[in-house]
Amino acid sequence: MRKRLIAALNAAGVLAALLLAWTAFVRLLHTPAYMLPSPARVAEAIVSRFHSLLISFAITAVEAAGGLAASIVAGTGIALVFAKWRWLRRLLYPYTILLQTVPIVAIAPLILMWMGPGTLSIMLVTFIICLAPIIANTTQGLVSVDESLVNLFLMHRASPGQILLKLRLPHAVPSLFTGIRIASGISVIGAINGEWFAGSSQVGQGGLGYSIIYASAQLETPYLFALVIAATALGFSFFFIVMFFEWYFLHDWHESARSPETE
Amino acid sequence: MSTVGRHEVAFRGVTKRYGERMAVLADVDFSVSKGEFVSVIGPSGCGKSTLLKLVSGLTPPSAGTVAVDGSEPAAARGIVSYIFQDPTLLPWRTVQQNVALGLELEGISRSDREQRVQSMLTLVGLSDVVQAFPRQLSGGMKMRVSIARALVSRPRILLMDEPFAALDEMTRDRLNEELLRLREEGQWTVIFVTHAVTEAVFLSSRILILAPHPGRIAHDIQVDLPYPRNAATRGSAALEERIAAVSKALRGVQSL
Repeated sequence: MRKRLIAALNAAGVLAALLLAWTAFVRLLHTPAYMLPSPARVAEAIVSRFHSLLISFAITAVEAAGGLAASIVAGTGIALVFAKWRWLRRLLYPYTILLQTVPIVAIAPLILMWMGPGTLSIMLVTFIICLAPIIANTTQGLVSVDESLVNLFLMHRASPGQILLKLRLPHAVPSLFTGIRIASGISVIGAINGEWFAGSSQVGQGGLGYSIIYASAQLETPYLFALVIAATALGFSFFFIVMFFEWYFLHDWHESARSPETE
Repeated sequence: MSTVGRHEVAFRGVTKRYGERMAVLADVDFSVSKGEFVSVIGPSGCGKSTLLKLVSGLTPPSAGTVAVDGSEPAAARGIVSYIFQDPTLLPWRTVQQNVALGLELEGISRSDREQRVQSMLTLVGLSDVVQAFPRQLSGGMKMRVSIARALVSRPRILLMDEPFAALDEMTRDRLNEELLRLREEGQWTVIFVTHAVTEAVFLSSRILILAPHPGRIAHDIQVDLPYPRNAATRGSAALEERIAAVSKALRGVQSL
């Protein structure tokens, strides 16, 4: 507990020092606010436009969460199919790696061209980039079960379905969470990226990605900084929500979910 | 030794090879009668574990036949329990849920399951850790859970593959004694693979010594010590004498 407090205080100290250095830099060099606003100006932008900031945050959060949730469901399903039929895995697995290497900035415009701008298109962009890490990690978890455990199930005359659902699936849950953790970070990137190309039906008001483009075009740099902070906060919240669920489901039995202090 | 009825396990001219390599077991013939406790012992590479895999039907013989209760090994799995070298517990299940696994897979009703698991946990001295997860248990406790899981299915034949090899000597001795105590009630037929002579002699009514390259039965020794055997049996002259005899036979096999 005491160690944690000291760590938190240290982190806060580093942040304060950075903000001070930033302020000093702006003051000494007299940089114009549209190039580099001072922390105070950024704070002012956050407070005065808090309402729009919150709306942008919520729009992007919904898009990212929708795409992520869909990728978890579909990715787990695909991984189960891959684990059940090895020939199918051999045939299609290379394409999931392909999915991971295609840059999303290159596909996003295509998807928006085909599906038109809208929440669903952006969710689809997010879905596509989140899918690969979930399939890869979950498949790995499903197939890496110890042979003697499979033998144990066979000795109890377990059906292939029972082996899949009572052995392979629970064994893969930690790997699934690793996949979700990676995907949760990139889901925010995917949603923001989608918004860049999608624009908004309402001028001046959209998700974080739309607002970032808008603010930069208008040279509203303090607000641009505020948006960057909001986007970071969104990524952070996703990460912590996933961490919480991971802890909740795994702390009873899995090493990865135990805090190092209980060792 | 009772020879009434058909054999629980019978090997007739069994050869097992993996791929093109030399046979792991070559032309093995033996049978096990109901109620026997047979230990299989021998130097590494003599096919001890393979022999159990054949009895369980997890691997088929390359030649010859293996019969369990007069039928194909895979068809006889309902009367066989297998205790592996590792405890092979499911880490996401509590002790109770782990012990219930076999009954669950076999479709035994929930109330029956709970009742049988409860009494088995009491019997093997696990009633204090019912809700614990495997990672919280010591090696000896984990093996106890593994044994409970095997016994709760009420097997007629128990296959054990060096189950106590990873444990310290004291724990191993205690579990040996408990195993014999549990067997007084169950009366299962046991095939027990080990590389420890003392353990084999203490537990068994009969010892098969295998020779390697290729694996074959070199000696078939009856251990004519009466049951029940317990802590008092240890160190007795009769036991020591038999341990010495088996050790000598084993040394002979190893120097082949």
